[in-house]
Amino acid sequence: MKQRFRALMVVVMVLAAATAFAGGQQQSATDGPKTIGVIVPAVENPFFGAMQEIAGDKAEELGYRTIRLVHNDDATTQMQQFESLISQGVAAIILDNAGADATVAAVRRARDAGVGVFLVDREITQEGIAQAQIVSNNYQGATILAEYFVQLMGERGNYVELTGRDTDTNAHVRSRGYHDVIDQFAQMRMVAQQTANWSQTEAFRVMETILQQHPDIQGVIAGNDTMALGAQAALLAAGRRDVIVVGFDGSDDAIQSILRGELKATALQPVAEMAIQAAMQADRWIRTGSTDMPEKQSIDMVLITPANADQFERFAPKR
Amino acid sequence: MARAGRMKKRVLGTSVLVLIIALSARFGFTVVPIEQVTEQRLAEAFDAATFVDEMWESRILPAIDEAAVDLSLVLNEWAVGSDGFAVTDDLIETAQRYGVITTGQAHIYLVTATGTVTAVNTETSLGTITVDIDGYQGPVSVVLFAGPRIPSDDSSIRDGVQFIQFGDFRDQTEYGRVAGEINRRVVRDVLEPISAPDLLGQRIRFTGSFTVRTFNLVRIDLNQIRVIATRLSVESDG
Repeated sequence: MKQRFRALMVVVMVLAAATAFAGGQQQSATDGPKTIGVIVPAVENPFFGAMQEIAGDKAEELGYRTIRLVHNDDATTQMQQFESLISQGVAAIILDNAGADATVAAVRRARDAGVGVFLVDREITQEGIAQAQIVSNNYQGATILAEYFVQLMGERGNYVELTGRDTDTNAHVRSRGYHDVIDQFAQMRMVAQQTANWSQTEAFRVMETILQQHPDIQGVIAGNDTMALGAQAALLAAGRRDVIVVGFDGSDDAIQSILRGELKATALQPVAEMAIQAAMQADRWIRTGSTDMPEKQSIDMVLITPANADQFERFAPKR
Repeated sequence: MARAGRMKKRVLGTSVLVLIIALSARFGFTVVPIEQVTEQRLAEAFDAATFVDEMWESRILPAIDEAAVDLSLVLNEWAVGSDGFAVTDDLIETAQRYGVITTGQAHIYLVTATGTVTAVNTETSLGTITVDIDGYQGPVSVVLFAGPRIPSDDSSIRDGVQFIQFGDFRDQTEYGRVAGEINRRVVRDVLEPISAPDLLGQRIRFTGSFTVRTFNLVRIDLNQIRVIATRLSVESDG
């Protein structure tokens, strides 16, 4: 009898736990400051490192504790981190996500637990589950960069495209943006298209190989700055200063390269603005229950060329 | 002991079952055949050309005609330095009065004007027609795109009409392609029927849209504004 009662108690407790988990707002164990989780793909890439640092620092400035994590573009890791953050009672999560489709489930899980999700940089394929999607307009950035690249090339010539990591939505968005422009020119010929997975060392190796197969190239358009810098280094090592190389992100390394006369252009990601906006909108949502903004917010990218490169640093205009 | 062990297993089993039922009741799930999902995906496949076709004549052109303001009013109000640069703060009031400020802090204007064509450049695919605008004498040079291309990143018309919103699209690529498609419509319907070089020295009237991007920029270059014309005609004498 006692055992049966104990069995019943376990059932009741499990039910109670399930209900609390499914529906309720998580209360943090202490009355101290609320916590905001900040998850980015990888901090080795200066882009993501800056994103996490600026968003985290802004959240702390607004009075929150932060937990800073890295998912390495792995949706499974990301889901585990969401579950862990939810169980730790975070109030909100700022996320640069691990895949437009794969992330929907994690965001929904947070929503059901009463945790607000503020997406930065990369969007997801579903609306109405995140509090905000503050998206850097990669398509606009890609087209403005490709327009400039085509002008530099004199609207003709052989070029190479280095693409980003296949699991990253923005790798595809940028490539589509490039081709929506460049493919309008019959005399622009892509002789090779290869991924270098956002990596500088990989881009160096890939570029070395491509150069052997296709020495007759006039341009390289890369999906981000680190790959552009890797390709540029390989070209310089081969004595090919004549090849036009453009990147994407507007990192300080790329800007320095442009000022040295090596890279020819990049598109500046509004990293600082997105990170600050995410922290401020998370704060407003936590305090008032609303961000007072449309969910999907598109922020423009800026074309950086030798003419204006000296005006920017750390993903923002110099103040 | 053996009995207690079985009991523990039963308790555990029951708990897990209850947990599963509780969770599925809370979150729910529906079984959908794969074919149906694929069909849905295909049905949802977005075609920017069709999207633009359906609203070009009926909504986009009328919206621009109706909202267009006199370009010289905008130009005369701008505080532009003699070097052709301005600071964003000085441009906001004018944008609020005559244009639209997007969430990306771009200033979009729908405008109309008359003027005299002083230069035509068709050396690259981004040809331009330079116009001396009636009622304005200042540092800002006004050019109209002449074709055969308009830059794909120029979303002035899409953003200026205000009823084509980012949130209504699956992603930024679809949204971006609408702008490109609108620009192709302009090339086909407005620019191709005219011969740009023949306009040199002529008086023209136009209606159209242009963008001043201000986000993340310290100084705004207003040496030249580039207008996408949705109406363009040669003025008869008088």
